[in-house]
Amino acid sequence: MRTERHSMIGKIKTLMMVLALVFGLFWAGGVSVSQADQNKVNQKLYLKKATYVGTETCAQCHDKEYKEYKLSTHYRIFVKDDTTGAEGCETCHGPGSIHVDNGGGIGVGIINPKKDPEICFTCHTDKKMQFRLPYHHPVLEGKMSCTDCHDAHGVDVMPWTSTSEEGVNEVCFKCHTDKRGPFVWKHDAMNDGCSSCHQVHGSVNDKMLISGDYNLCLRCHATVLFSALESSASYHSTRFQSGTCWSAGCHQAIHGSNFNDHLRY
Amino acid sequence: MKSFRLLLSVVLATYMTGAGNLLLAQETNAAPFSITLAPLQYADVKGNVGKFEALNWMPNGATEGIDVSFVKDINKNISLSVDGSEFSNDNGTAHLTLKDGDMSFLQIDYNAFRKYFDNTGGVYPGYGTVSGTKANSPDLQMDISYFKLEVGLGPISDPFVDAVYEHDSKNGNKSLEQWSAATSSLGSKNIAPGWEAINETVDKFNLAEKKEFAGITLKGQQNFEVDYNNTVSEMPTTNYAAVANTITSYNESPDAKLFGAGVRAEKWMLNDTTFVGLGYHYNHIHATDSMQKDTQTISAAGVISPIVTPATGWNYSHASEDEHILVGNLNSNLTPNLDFLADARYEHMGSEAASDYFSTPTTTAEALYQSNDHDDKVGEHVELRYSGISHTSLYAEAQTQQDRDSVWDFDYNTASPGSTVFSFDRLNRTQNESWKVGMDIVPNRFFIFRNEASQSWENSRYYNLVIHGTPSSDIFLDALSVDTIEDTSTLTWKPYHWIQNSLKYQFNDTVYNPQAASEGTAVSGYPVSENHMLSSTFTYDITVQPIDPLLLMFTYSHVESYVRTVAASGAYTAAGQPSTGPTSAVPPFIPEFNSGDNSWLFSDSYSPLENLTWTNTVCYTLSDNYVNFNTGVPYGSDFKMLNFSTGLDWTFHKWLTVGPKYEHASYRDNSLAGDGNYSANIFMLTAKFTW
Repeated sequence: MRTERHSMIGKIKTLMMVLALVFGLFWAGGVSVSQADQNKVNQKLYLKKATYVGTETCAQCHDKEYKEYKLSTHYRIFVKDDTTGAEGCETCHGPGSIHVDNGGGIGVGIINPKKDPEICFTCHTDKKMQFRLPYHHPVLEGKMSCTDCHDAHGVDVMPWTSTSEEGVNEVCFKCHTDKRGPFVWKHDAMNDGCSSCHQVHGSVNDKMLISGDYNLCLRCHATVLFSALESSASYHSTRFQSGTCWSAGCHQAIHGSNFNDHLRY
Repeated sequence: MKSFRLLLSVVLATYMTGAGNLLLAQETNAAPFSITLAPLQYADVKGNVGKFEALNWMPNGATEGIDVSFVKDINKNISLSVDGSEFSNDNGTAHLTLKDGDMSFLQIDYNAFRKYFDNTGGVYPGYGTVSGTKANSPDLQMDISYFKLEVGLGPISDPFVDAVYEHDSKNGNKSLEQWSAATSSLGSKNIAPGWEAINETVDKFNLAEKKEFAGITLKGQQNFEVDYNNTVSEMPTTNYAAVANTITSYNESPDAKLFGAGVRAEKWMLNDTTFVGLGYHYNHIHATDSMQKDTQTISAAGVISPIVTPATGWNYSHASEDEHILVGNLNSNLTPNLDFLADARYEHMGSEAASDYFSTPTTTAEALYQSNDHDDKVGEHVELRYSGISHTSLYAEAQTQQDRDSVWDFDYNTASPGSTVFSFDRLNRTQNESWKVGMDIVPNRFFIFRNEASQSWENSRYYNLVIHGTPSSDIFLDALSVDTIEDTSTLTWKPYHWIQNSLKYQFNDTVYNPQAASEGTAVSGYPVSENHMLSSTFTYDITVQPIDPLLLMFTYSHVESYVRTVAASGAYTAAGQPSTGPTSAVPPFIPEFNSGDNSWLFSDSYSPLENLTWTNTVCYTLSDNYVNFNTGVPYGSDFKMLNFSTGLDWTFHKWLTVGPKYEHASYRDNSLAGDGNYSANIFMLTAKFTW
């Protein structure tokens, strides 16, 4: 029923939009032939003929970006006397000679990756495959992009970095605000970052967990003789027979809890 | 928000075509305008529809929509670009950029999509299928939207005043991994699916300013955020016999308000060879929460009882957190080939939180909880980057952090006036150290070699002091160390300009050493344990362009990983049996997580004509991770997944481009570990009209 209603609403909305467009076109008295696609074709041709100009050339106009780049993690692998030329800015933006010859301009003879992950996948081939695992952030589906979490011109995102004012989990909390807290009882694992338990690009396990079973928690919580430490009222060993720490109805508020110090709810 | 989206789409469409032209005083170029219709996406799914929708981010059945884009230079300074789309499954986007050269700009960014979830729950051999057994199971799908309005003065890439308003929302039902009991003649396992209804809105305001003063760039930023959230999670039990079941639900409203402010000063000096930055940021969060637990009965006939008496009273909490962060950065070109970077960070976080809990709706005996947390962290980082060797860049960095976290926990029950049930102090001292070295070598145009190796140590000591009372079922950790070794190597070989190979190897070896104290007394002295996580990832990638119109790409990935803890060791089962409780007949044995995943991806793109491109993609993933753990639940990811697509992009007229596409998706679970089998045929057709 709900799906049918959505479908009907969608059709009505689409129809209204088409009508608005048709009306708009009529009002405007017609529009001219696109230049955009032709520009794209030309751009491809340009880039095939383009040659590398070097990062120092880019810096002459893009001073701010060049300075940011010098501070960034990507600058670490910048080879100044690279014989292929495909280093520095042109690693991602393509050969820049046509761009330079045309006096610059947004998108003129240059690749602007923007939200397209394919440029990132050129080097980060492992991430390309992780995004194709069953449980993944929807980057390939176009609902997110690499730049939503990473700044290609900026500093690295890693646990307890001292280079930025941002906390380790800030980038995750932008969308997952309910995991931020503060809680009456927090899970200390959050201090080490969400990636302690989640494979953030993609995973074979639901909720993008590093491990889909008990061992996820036992990495830190399994100690020698730990079953002997239990009181008769709480045999973890018997609890384990029902399911994992978080799925068996025991530690459900695993990110933090306000009402139970064992993170039960 | 949906109404807004529709309104925005119509306004934009009308403006871009009609009003846009009317406003043109000095039109400088032709108006590139395109409409893309995607009216014929149809997915025909057989099998587990929820699994298909969740893994492929698309609905079963038909989806239709429209996409419009428009770029126009209104005059030599002012430019406008608009892109918007709307689909019947509530996916939609809208992007608008209006720019007056480097003077000012306005941007609107909107993105909405639906996330789907699978309601399978867990699987236990012999129990049959649990998914879809609940008459009250909702559609597990959640609408997620993001809206941003940004106004700035100055260049769009570097404004000196930037004001942003963002509105995020989540509305719908998602699956949980908190499962309830499924009971059969074989016993009871917690594999019955649970779900959560979410209604969340987040409003964010951010104002940033930038000013040059005496050669110093001063940056200021203030942000304010209001989060409203209401969730109702439901976890119904399943019994394979025709008997009554129960639904346990939690109705919870965690809300938060956040205020932040920061200042930063930056300066490039000494002929742009040295950068110095100093920043301070303050955050304050105030969070409140209310929660009530309910239990309902589902009769054998499937009738759900109304909530007459909730399982608990309404429980409330409030928490506030203040955070002060100070960061200093230095980057200096010591020589033309040697860069030195040094960073330092100090962070103080203080939080106070309290909650009360009524275990029944009528009780006056209230459990009161309080906790205080004061955490001080100091981090240091130094790095050298050297490019003095021909065709080579080298870097090395070291990072340390000292963390002192003091936690005070206080539990009190009004049923025993004047007596503290339990109170303890914990002081956690953590020392982190790490180093990393890396290189990038480009000896000639044929090869690129990159390597990065790192090692880190994290050592935590927990000083637990029970002040009063006896903790209930607590196991304290005395110490935890986490040591990690990582290495990533990539070799790229380009024998000809039209072929490129790369082989990447990533290795991660992490050892966890927890040490427990005795329950109830927090007495230390138990031996140090060793738990181990190891993974190796091989990725081979080849791109070939033998002739101009043909591009071939192939990638193979193999991941080998395991997590092995003392719970999986023979020594544990032999020596660790408690005198009471589980016996050797039911060993507390937790097998290791052992995963081997292989993925093959092939794609080709062929453009025999300038106006025609044919693209094919095949991706096959094989995950082999079934563990026969009958005393527990076999949570293996054990599946075969295939996605194949073929499609054309054909511009057969200057104003019309069509894109028919076919995709096949299939997923096969090991029936002992999963229940997500599906097979789907998806047909798509896009038609792009361009003026």
